[in-house]
Amino acid sequence: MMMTRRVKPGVVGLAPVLLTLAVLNLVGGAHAAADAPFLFGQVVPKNEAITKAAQQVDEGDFEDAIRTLEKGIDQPDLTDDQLAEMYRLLGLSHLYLGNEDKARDAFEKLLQARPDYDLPKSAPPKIRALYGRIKEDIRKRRVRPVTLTVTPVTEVEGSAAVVVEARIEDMALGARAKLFYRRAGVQSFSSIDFARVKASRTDHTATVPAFEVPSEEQSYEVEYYVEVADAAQRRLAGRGDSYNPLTFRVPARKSSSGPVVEETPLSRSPWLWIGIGLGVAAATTGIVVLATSHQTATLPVKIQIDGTP
Amino acid sequence: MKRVALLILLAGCGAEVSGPAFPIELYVTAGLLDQISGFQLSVVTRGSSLDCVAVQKACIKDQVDSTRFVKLKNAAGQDAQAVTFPITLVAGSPNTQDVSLKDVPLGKDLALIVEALGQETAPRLAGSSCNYLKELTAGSNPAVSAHIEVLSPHADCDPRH
Repeated sequence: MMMTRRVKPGVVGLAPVLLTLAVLNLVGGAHAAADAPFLFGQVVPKNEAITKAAQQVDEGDFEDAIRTLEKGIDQPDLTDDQLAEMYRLLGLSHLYLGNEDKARDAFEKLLQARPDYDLPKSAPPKIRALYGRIKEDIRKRRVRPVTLTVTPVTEVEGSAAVVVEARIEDMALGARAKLFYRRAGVQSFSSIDFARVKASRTDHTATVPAFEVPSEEQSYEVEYYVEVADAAQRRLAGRGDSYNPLTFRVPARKSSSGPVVEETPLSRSPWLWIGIGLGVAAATTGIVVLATSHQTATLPVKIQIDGTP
Repeated sequence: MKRVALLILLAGCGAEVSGPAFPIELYVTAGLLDQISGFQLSVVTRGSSLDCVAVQKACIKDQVDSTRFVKLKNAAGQDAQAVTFPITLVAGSPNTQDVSLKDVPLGKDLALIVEALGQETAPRLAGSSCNYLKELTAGSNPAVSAHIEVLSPHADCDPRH
């Protein structure tokens, strides 16, 4: 295969042989296991674009690799691991071509998913220095905002899974959206990950298992909140939080015979509080009446008559 | 000396005349029998607004609106604007008579008016006293010393309501 690498002398200026060796060191894992490429020691799910791009990078064909990766990134239903691996290869390709800005863009996305990623020590010092500068710049940059829209859940049927829908835009690579939930009154929250709806880049769902919301004789409430956090566990967006959660209600179990008479907890019955209020008012009135009904004064008067009889 | 002390003691414990059936107790030690037939006590609101010097020159009922009289219990146990009782004299000096108003409604900024009724058939005001009462609290209150200045001649008004 022809090498179409174009290296800017001022940026890299390394001997082609040395460069090729270095690249082989960097991407060797991906090439060695094309069917199940490695991402930083982890197995990345098989993807044709990744396999092809890894081979192109392996051969120093950086421009073709970039084209392959740019097409591959637009594929639907990519996992985060696959995207991270693509951005890694893309960043390397641009780095070796001296395209610092483009390399920066690719590594920024990679570092959102893998904040601790670093180049192998075998990488040429100039490349490592350039990557180090990009990494430091990205680290100092502000967190990118994420737009989160959650469809509120108000009431669900008991003993059935509860699906919470969320629309997440500008989701950072490596970020995770989680649904936290607990039965009202319970101390700790449980959590489940949102999953992206197939063929959609923004729609996500999280499902609370049916056994977590059983139908009972009395209705109860479930508190929940949604949080999007990046790989460094920084909160990027959220709806509700552990102190001010959203709630949905699970109504009382329906009886098979006769109409459903839902039992409201006694403490929430308005009649109880009205009764207590009336009782207190009556007692207070009684006390006041008793205390004041016979409160009168006695006024001794000593009359002295000044005058002559 | 012992006689004087005994006299004072006897005077203090003088015969109790519980006027009719209403809650005023009379302790009469002396009086001007030939001029006064009895006393009329009334309590009026907004006592601080009264000019006591002017009040003592005429009948109180002619000087303030009837709504300002605090309801007192008369001999029949009914609400009344004033209570009256006859004078009963016991030998002694000075000419004093102790009474005690009971079941008086509580209140603030009041005035106690004691009017002496003349001996006439239609009694005239023989004299009166005016005492400011800052507050009447539940139970027994400090004694009020009412000095009646006898008018000569008597004022041309009937104190009775």
